[in-house]
Amino acid sequence: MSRRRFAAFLGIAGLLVGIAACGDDDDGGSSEAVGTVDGEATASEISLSEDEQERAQENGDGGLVGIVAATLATEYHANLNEAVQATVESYGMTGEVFDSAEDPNKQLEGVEGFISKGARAIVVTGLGGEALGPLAQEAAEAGILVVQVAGRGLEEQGAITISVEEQDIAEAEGTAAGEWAAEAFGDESVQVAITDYPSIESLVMRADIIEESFLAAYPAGEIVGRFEGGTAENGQASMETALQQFPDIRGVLGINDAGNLGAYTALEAAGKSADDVFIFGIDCDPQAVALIDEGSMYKGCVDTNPIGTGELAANSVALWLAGGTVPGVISVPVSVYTG
Amino acid sequence: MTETAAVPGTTVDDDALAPATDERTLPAKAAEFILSQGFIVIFAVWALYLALATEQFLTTDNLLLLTRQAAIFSIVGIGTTFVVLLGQLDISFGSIVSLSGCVGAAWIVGGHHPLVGFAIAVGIGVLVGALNGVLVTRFRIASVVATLGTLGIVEGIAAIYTGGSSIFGDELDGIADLYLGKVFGVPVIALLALGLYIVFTVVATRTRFGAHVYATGDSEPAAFRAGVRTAWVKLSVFVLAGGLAGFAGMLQVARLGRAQSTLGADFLFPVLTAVILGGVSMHGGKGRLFNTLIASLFLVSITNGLILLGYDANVQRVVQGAVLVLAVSLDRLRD
Repeated sequence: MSRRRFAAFLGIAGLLVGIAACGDDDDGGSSEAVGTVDGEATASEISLSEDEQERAQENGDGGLVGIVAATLATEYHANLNEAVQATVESYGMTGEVFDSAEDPNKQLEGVEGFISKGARAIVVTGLGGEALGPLAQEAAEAGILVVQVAGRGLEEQGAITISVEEQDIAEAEGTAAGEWAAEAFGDESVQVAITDYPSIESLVMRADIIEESFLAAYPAGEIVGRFEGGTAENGQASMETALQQFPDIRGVLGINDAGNLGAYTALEAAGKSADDVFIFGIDCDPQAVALIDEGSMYKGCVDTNPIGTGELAANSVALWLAGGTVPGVISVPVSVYTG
Repeated sequence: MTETAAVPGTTVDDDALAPATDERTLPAKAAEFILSQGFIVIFAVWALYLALATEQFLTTDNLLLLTRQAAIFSIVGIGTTFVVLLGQLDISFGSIVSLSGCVGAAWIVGGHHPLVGFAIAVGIGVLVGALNGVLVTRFRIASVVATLGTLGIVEGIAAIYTGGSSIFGDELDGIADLYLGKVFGVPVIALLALGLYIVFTVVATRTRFGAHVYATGDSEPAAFRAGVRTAWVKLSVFVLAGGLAGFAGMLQVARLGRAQSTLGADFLFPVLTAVILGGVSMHGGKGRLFNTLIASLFLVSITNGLILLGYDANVQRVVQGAVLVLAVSLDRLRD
């Protein structure tokens, strides 16, 4: 190795050591925690008194709230994260959104980035999995509040989990669909397809619970198979082919409305009508809601209330900043919309 | 037998004048056929298996369904084939499909005539294609890098434009017939794809432009020295690819009845796989457009067949990945 190259390496190494040394003095977000995290609750909103709002603004001091979105490509997530951002900004703080693009690694990078930037709080719309735990711990030690929407509880790490429980969402859909089918078909056995998305763990669980609760409410139902949905294109392509094999499909249940809407198009193209098929989904996509209101094949959807959930997440940050006690787990009730 | 030749001092050997015979062995000929057209053999075997293992595969409805499902991404494959024939690569087409479809759909839902929506979608595709072409020809950026950059830009623009919302409305019903309609029992979209393949096959094989594309892909320096305006050819091909992707974006909207920023997100894999599987050399200069269409049908038959056989989506991914590996391996062996 030449002397010049060796000197360059030494220089770079020295620079890195210097940066690390400077970094030790700056925790990039060390603030004293102002509120506490304790207990559990079921709530669809958190309200702050005028005093608390003022204290939240004062203690927030125009600081940064990082919002790590699972994705921004769906209506649900876009509404959820926009609601967080808008509510945060109503308290005079800066809400910055980072898109994980459904990649758990990117999600962690986003959280790490906001910790480095000295955020006062980080709101994460979780993709499932336990990887967030250690980072939530690191954030808590730096005095940064982490609020997670969905995912496993992180109260041990001093974080808040806004639990839109997969169990509740899936059971709501399965049960509503099962009860509808039982009323419509009685003891007659009808064929039902489920659109799923096998590459995301939480959605696999969702599909399992949908199936289980559907059959519990309507034991005569016959689940003919699971077909890839998640997106309109997948749902349509899968249903077009499924109809070749099962032309008498009478029901479609799905892990979300997007995949179901694709399946809807395929069913409509196959000549099915509202009297032939029932479809239930999750998220209450505006197009799904419009179809339900029209009295079409689409009969119901589980309203996960993304805007309300986003506001809840942001208000929990505000209450914490105001010095209040925020439940470590907040379970959000879900409802089924049938028109 | 030898004869005395007209030139004194030489002889003519009849054997030397006899036409050359192909002395390759049967295995060697078979190997060459498989390398050049192997995927057709694999397709035929797969189709035969499905015909025997399922009742539904060989039905008219299912076969027509395959043509409908392959049509849109095979249209994108036309542009991509031309790009790969140049020895270049364009991976931005999925994002062009997304942005074009979203903007075109928004204009139609906003009350404008569907033709306006289509024109805008194709226009967006042409613009992005032109950007790709300029980056490659004028700034001499490697095409995979340039189009990776435009992929990100266009994807981001699509996400900002839609704000995560989907675009839908009764106004889009007017274009649904492009996907669902039939003429003499054949899906309109399949006829459209076939028509485009015929037109562009003529362009590729019977026009000076097509010859220039092959020549540039085979050896750009040699083509340039021979007087081919290689930069212009490359720019034109990227514009073509972008325009076709824009058109496909609107067809995708016609298919789904809605548009969202991820409209073209799943196009990258099937389009590139179809082009490579169809025998277009990644080094450029070699390949047949029509094979991309056949490879597209093969790809949809894989998903279709696995669903009919009852395999779940994870198995489908494994098989699709294996097909891509096979396609690239065949390509490397061909070269």
